Order: sequence, then C-alpha cells, then structure tokens
Amino acid sequence: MTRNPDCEVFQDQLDALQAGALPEEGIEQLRLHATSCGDCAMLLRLHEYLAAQPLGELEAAVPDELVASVWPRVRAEIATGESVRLRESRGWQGWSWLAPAMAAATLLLFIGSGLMYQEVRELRRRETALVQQVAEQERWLAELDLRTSTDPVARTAVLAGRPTWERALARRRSVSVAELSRMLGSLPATTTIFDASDTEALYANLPSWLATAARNLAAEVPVGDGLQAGELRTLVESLGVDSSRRISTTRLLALAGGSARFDVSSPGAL
Amino acid sequence: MEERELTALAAAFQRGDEGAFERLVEALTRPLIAMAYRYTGDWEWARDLTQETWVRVYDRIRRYDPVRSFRAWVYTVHRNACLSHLRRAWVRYETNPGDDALGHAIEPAVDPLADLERREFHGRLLMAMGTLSESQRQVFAQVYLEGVDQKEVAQALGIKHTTLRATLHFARKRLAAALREMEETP
Repeated sequence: MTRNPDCEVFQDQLDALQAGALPEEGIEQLRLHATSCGDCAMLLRLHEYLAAQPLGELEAAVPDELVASVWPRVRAEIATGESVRLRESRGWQGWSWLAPAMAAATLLLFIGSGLMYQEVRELRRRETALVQQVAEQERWLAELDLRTSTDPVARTAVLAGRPTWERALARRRSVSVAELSRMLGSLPATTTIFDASDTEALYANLPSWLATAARNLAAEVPVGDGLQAGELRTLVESLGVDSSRRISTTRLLALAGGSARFDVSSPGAL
Repeated sequence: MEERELTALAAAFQRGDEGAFERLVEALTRPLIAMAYRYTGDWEWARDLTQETWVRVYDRIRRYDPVRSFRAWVYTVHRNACLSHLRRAWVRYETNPGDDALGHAIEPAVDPLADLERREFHGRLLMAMGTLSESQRQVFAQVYLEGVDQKEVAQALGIKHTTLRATLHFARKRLAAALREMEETP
C-alpha cells in the first residue's frame, strides 16, 4: 500500500483530515483515491467511523436509567462482596476445573507428606534402635577385651555389677584352660560353682582320662557342700591338661547348670 | 465536576467517608459508561464494566495518590477493565470466529439497517484491535475510543508526539488490513 505514491499521499491527507486541517478539495481527492484502492478505502471508512460520534456526544446518549442503575449495583456488590451481575462469569469461566484440581492436588500432597513423614519416623526409630545395638555391641566387645586383660583393675571394673560368673562366661564362645583358671581365681574362693548333687554327678561321669586326678581330688575335697571356686581352680590346675586347650563356654555353662544333663565322657565334650 | 472537587472527594473517601465515594460514582459514571461503550458497542456491557471499575476503585482507593488527577486514575482503571474485556473477547473469537464474541444485543434504532451495519463494523473493529501490539492498542484506544488529545496521550506515555503519530499510523494500517481480511472471510 505505501509503495504506491497515491497511497502515501492518501496517508498524509488522512492525517491532515484527522487533524482537521484538510480542505474540501483534499477530501474529494481522498475519496477519489479510496474508490480505486481497497486498503485506503478501509482506512477512510475506519476514520469516518471513529470520527462519526465524538465521546462528548456519546455521553449525552447514555440512557439515564443505565446511569441510575450503577450505584445500587456497586453498593450491593461492595456490601455482599459478590457480583450481582446476571451475566456469565467472564474471567474464570474457562478455569472452573482449577479449584477442584488444586484442592485434589493439595489433598494428595497432604496425604503423601503424611505417609512420607510416617515412613521417615519409622526409619528414624529403626536407626535409633540400630545405633543403640551397635553401641551395646561396642561396649560388649570392649568389655570382652578387658576381661581377657591381665590388668586386675580393668578386669574388676568389667565384672563389677555382674550378677553371676556364668554371665561372664556367657560373653565368650570358648575359654582356654588357663583363662578358666584365671577366672576362677578372680572369684572369691568360697563362691559355690557346683552344688552337692551336681558335684556327685560330675564325678560319676568323669571320663577315664580324668578319673585318677578326680579320685585324688575327691579324696582330699569333701563333696558334701559342692565345689567352690577355689576348689575347682585347684581341680582344673591339677588335671595336667594343656593350658591352651579351648573349652566351649556353652558346655561349661550347661555343666554348671546340671552336669547330669551333660555328657562329659570324652575330651571332646569339653 | 471540577478536577479539584473530584480529588477532594477521593481524599475524603480515603479517610473513610463512604458518602464521598457515592458522589464520585454519581459524577463520573456517565462518561465511564460512554467510554466503555466505545470499547464494547453495547450498553449493557458498558454498564457492567463501569460497575466493575467502581468496585475496583473502592478496593484500591488506598493506592490512589491525591497528587495525581483522580479522573485520570479512574480512567486508567476503567481502560484496563475494558481492554481486559476485549482480550477475553479476542480469545473467544480466535476459538470460534463464527460467534458474536462481544455478545452484542440488538437495540432499537431509527435506521435499523444503518445501525446494524454500524454495530457490525464496530464489532469487527474491536476484534481487529486484537491484532495490534500492546503499545499500538493503548495509543489507538486512548486517541480514537476515548477521544483523548494526542499530545496529552504522548505526555502521559512519556513519548514524543511524532512517535505517537507514527504508532497511530501503523496501528491504522494494521487495523485496516485486519478489517479487510474479516470482510473477505465468509
């Protein structure tokens, strides 16, 4: 359009017309060009339409009842906080799905976060339990090391508060003859290890390779009041068994709990 | 009503005088409806948009700076409401060009045919405004729909008058092209 010189002249004239500075002759030329150019004709039509009714005139044409109806409606809308317009909701009409969708999303988030919180809480509880178990194991291992220590102070500290010597034994899988002897030596010599019936059962079931030593011991040690720690230590040391020989603590504890239920007829049994 | 009186009423309303708000509504409703009519071509819509503008003014009166012209501030709020209305109409027009996106009602007229043609052209013009850039639309709306003086618009927008004239020039060309396309489309 602007490449045509006539169209450019038309544009200039239209601007002059817009400014009210176009003489009658120029207006005629403008109309003449518009008859032969569709684009310029539309521009002229647009101009004439826009200039046809100035805003001032339009104000006078506003129906009085329309003006009068505005304040009551505004007052009602402000009072209720809601629109009283009967026309369809224009702004969010296409977004009616948004509110329920957001509500559903919020609910899912709430449930999801609740489940995650429960799972996290359960994991933390298990973590705490595991930490406690590890701490207990470490303490137990430390005690085990101390129990085999030759330091009497440390050994005493470990045994302090322990209910019985069985519990001390129970903390190890096996114990050597030398360790057993040391352990018995750490106990008060009068501590009863086997009562009378257990002692009789023990003697009756001693294997042949121990029989001589046991008989010698039995001749010297009365079994009426059972075997005390001091006596048992003497017995262990007098057996002449290799001091590095390992004895299952499980079997020792079973023997202490009732030798009648325990087969000690062979060296392997101990 | 003088600008000075409007500003005094607005300041009174800011202090909590509800009666001042009612007087402002009485003073400016008619020009606002006329202005909205230029944007919509429909009296009912013009009334609804004016109502919407007053509710916005009521809610946002604390934002008004009494140093500025109250009339200019309200017109800006109103213009934004009208342009928002047009934007929604443009979206509906894009979705379904066959619909009367502006929802025009047929009103009685002295010359029904001429009036119908005028209203149809007005509807197409408003639809064609959707093809303008935001700056072109602002300038075109203020100059042609609201009848604001070009120099005042340029001053308010902080641009030179020659720049504004060039913007109007290209806006008119684009509108004319869009209108021709609409007329040629069955």
